[in-house]
Amino acid sequence: MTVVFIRSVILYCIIIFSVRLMGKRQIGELQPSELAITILISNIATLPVEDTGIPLVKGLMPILTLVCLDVIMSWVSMKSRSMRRIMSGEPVIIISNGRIDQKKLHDLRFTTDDLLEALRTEGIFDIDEVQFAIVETTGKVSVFPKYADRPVTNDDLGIKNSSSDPPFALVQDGNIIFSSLDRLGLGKGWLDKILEENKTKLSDIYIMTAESPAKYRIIKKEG
Amino acid sequence: MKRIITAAALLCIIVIYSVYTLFELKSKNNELKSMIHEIQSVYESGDTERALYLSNELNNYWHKYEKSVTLIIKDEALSNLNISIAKITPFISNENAELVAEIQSVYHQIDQIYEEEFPSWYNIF
Repeated sequence: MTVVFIRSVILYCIIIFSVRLMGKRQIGELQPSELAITILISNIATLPVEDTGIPLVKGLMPILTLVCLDVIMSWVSMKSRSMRRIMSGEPVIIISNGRIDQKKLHDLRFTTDDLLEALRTEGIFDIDEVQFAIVETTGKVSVFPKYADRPVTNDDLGIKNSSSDPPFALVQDGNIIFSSLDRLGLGKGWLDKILEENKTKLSDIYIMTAESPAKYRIIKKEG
Repeated sequence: MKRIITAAALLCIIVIYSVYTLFELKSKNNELKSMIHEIQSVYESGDTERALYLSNELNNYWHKYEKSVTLIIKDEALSNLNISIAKITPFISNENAELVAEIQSVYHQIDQIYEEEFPSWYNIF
């Protein structure tokens, strides 16, 4: 039992390391090769845990090999468009100029139900509203509505305003997030000054956000 | 870029380790086989006492061998070999006729362990 426990802990650490090495991707955004590797890893990882007769190294080696190959191949794909095409395929246009390309849908083995469901997911319930739709390499359908059905933007309404970054969390649970301070070009001195002005202590702050030195918000801890 | 370097370095380590373990296994197997061969020839020459001494040496070497290859070889294969090697000393002391057969079985198992690890066409596919 202890052997299984220790093996599980080691595998847990290795898998966390492997997933971190693969980079940040959500399950729904995985490329076909990444999805295959994720499934393979989860299967391989169970073998040395279930069967203590299998050397742990033999279980770890395929996991690390697959992850390393994936990282290297993704780098090669990044550098070469043709490799990218081989590894991930290409996006396929299924609706162009409001007209459905039935042959492409057939090639993709996409049923009309799949298409309508994908459109509904994008908030489109009437196929007539679609100007252009494309099936991405991840299988997600991206939709570009017809001009008349596009949401009104600030530009359409002639509202002028400068774009700015969203607020950053500067203090969380009494702890200073120095990377956010750096991002805003602010220092500890500025923070101390603000705390003094607001007559509050750092340890009393639940969360403090700011998007500029003049525009900040402090939420104090309750109770 | 840090990820690529880490992945490439890891991949190199894996390849080097795999090749190293294969050579290590071969050299350890050769050592084991030469010890067994010596036991067999000493026993066949009628020197039971020396054969017993050598079989004890073999047992000591076997424990070291088992510890080092357990990282790469399945437990099942090593357990079978362990049983066969454990039989050699009692077979010598009892002058059992099955000794030669058991020694042949050990040879076969040692070869099989290496062959299963060797990246041959048959093993890969």
